[in-house]
Amino acid sequence: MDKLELAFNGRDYKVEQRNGAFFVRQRPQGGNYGQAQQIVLVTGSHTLQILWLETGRGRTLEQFPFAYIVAEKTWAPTSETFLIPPELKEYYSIGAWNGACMDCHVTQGQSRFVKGSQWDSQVAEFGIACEACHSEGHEHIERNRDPIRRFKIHLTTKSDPTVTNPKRLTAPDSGLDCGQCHSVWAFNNMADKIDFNRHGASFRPGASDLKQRFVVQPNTQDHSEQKDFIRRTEPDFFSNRFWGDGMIRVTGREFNGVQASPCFRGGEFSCISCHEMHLETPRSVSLKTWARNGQLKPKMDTDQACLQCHQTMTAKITEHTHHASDSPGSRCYNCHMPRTTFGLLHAMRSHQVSSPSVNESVAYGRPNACNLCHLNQTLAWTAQNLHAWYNQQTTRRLPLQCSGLLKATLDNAPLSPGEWVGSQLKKPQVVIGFTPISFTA
Amino acid sequence: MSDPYAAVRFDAWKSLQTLPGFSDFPFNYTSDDRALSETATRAIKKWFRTVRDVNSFFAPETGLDSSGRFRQDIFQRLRTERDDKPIVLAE
Repeated sequence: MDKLELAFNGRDYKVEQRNGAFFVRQRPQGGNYGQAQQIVLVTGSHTLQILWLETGRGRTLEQFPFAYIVAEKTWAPTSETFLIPPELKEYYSIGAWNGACMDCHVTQGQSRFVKGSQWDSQVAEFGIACEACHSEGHEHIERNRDPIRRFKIHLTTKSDPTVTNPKRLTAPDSGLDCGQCHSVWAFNNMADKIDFNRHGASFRPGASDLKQRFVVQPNTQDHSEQKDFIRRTEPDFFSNRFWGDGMIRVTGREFNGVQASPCFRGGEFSCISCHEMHLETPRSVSLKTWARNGQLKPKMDTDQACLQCHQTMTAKITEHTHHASDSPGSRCYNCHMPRTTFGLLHAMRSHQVSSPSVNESVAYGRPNACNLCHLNQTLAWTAQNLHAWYNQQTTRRLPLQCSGLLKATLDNAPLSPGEWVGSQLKKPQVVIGFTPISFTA
Repeated sequence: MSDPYAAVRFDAWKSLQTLPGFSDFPFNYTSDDRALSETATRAIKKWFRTVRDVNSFFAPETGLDSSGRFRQDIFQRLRTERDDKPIVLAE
């Protein structure tokens, strides 16, 4: 980064290295450079890295307005690494890390708002460390100083009650361990928000609810009072996070999808059905590949992910899919977990297991799995096939081809080259602002 | 590649790079509108003149006709049905 020079939105930025630390100076274009601000923190690792600067206001951080895209080895304006209207140039600003990002990008953070844009934030550890998933380690460490105790546990299959092992939890509790961060959540009330702000999360891995918070599912009956409040005070809250039918559409909130899946009701389905947080040895893939491919368990990028439970489907996949056995149309994921969530600059698989229907496209603009591949076909064609193959009824008129902004963001969809250049797309006229949130993060 | 949303332009580029002949195709997705259009035009010309194999068969799902020519009608239909309401995804 030393001697890096960047410009964006009428300002120049220059990075310099001194004594092993990096500093940024900025100026309005044509003006003079101001005081150096030290880069003190990075969030993100293997996909996108966002840098944070000291502000001189206690522990309040300011975002460096450029993000580093790891795979491309390039810098881009941070606002252009999110799916937001082009008019929005500054996405996160002073204090945003303290007020929002640190809720999940550290272990046991306490944001501690002071006044104005000043914060006195504290953390147990930066990043997602052991205690984030395994709960507090003090007692575990103290009691296991005794080698006899360790040996007794080693010789039995019993778990050690002084620490949480998500593998030994029920599937819903194990999922919530991940979902404490990987969900859209909100506070139960203002008192809980203040408590969270001052003392951090009271949830500990192994618990069955988030204590001061709850997972927000738009269409469930729980927390109706809180959800009504959110709708009144932040009208865009749900549309910025969910499709119209309540399916999560933002990356990083996968537990919402898992929890809303029919598989979840069976009590066996959780995040670690397919993912692992520690790469098993001997390694079948490199650490880098594993990390960049969703930290999947072996074979969980194949039909085996579903067949581990749905074993009876093994012998009748093509009978079920009506596609050739070696085609993408016969892969469970492609129909039941299509790429309808977005974040970190790419479309990701929905984590809400569902079956494709045209209704979701007509009513909510959500691309259905069929037309994500069959771009050339109409919804009527899709409806006809879904009816013929699965007796699926279509309850809405079908004048539309599958559409939606997300279609253009599909990682693996082949681009259609042609004569049209694409500059005719009408730019949005409405500028969306951010409303201060009360009960939400 | 000239979409008003930067994230869409980025993914259009990454998608393009998955096609044979385009793996090292350069594109600055944060450029100004003119540069974006010029690059998109260059990509199309490259496809049509250099990469496209006239003897190949192109599946209809690609939005191309059987000889690899762009199906304007399909694209226009998709485009007219696009929901242009401004969107923010709160990552």
